[in-house]
Amino acid sequence: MKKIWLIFVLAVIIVAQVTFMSSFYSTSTHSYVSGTSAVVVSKMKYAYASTVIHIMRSPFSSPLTLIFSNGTQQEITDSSYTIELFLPRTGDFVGTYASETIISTTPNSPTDSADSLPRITLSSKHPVDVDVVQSIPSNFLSWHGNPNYGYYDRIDVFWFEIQGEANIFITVSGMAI
Amino acid sequence: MEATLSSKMAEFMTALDQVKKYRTLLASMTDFTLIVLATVVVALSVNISMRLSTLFSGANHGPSIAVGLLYLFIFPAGIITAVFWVRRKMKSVKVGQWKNTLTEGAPGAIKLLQSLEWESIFSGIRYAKLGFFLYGIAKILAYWGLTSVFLFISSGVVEVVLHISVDYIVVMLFSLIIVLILSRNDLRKRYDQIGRLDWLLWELRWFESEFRGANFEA
Repeated sequence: MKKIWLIFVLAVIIVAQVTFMSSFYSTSTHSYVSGTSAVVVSKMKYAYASTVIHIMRSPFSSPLTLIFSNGTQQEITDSSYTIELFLPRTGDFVGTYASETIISTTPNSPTDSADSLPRITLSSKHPVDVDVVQSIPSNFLSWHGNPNYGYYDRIDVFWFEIQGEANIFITVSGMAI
Repeated sequence: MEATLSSKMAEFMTALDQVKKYRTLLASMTDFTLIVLATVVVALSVNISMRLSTLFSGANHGPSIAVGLLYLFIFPAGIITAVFWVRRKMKSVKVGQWKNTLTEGAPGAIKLLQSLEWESIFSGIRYAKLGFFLYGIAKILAYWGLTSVFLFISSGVVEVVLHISVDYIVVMLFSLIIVLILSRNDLRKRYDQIGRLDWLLWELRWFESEFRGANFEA
């Protein structure tokens, strides 16, 4: 009889573990960029996100310049450069999981019609997202401090610009609780 | 006549020993399930730790390759342990204790027949059938899990090397087909054995009623 109870307890633990595992998400992307491009990592506020960005530069091409959202610039002369980024949980879940709300926005853009700009698509089933956007406009960074979308109370966005030619591999692991 | 009786009795007692083993098999199913479930709990715990470690320490400082390899071997190791545990239990069943009595010839055979508890034998055969059937299913499920894990790893390697992604439903179905093909002899053996146990049950019921009607002096 004790063994039957033990089986029951183990089954309950497995159900709990599987439920917990369903709160993990991951996504990845790979892109070749040239000129001025941007990497945009976004997540729901209630999610954690850990991002690894590998930038592979041809040793024969000119150095790359990374420009971060706070204006900091970094020149990359190595053929391989890795950025690790951790975005913490900054808010609670808003809404219901049953009604799947999909947030699809072009962050900080003055208009909704800018199709070439980063398209963030987040939902409770997809709470972390990453995008590499080619040929961004020169005033891309200036939009950063002036969000014109109401979604910003529900999502966190991190981005930086890349000037130059490179291959970019991005992996995002996230957890939404 | 006496030799025939002894040999028939030996055959019968061997069949009963087999039934005793299958009853132990059914009793070991709880242990089998416990070991497999505990393995799943350990494997999932390691998986969750690895995910948390990747998330909070960064992919480059996450779990080491050794932990990854250890994780891959937890489930197969658990299933192999469970199968060996059941086999060990079955091997520990004491059989052939009737052989000494049977050396006495016909009186020994009759003494054995008189010492049998028929109702317990009938219920033993029913349990044996159930145990034999359940263990067959559990073994196939466990081997299916094992093959699936192996094929998932292989499909991951194929995806990295050849950039061909394989749907996980295809992997699961393919694993099941492989396991069913490899276990076809075992399945046939089980099916035949369950049929034989049925036949034994009916024969014994008839024999028991005849035996009760007769008077023997051992």
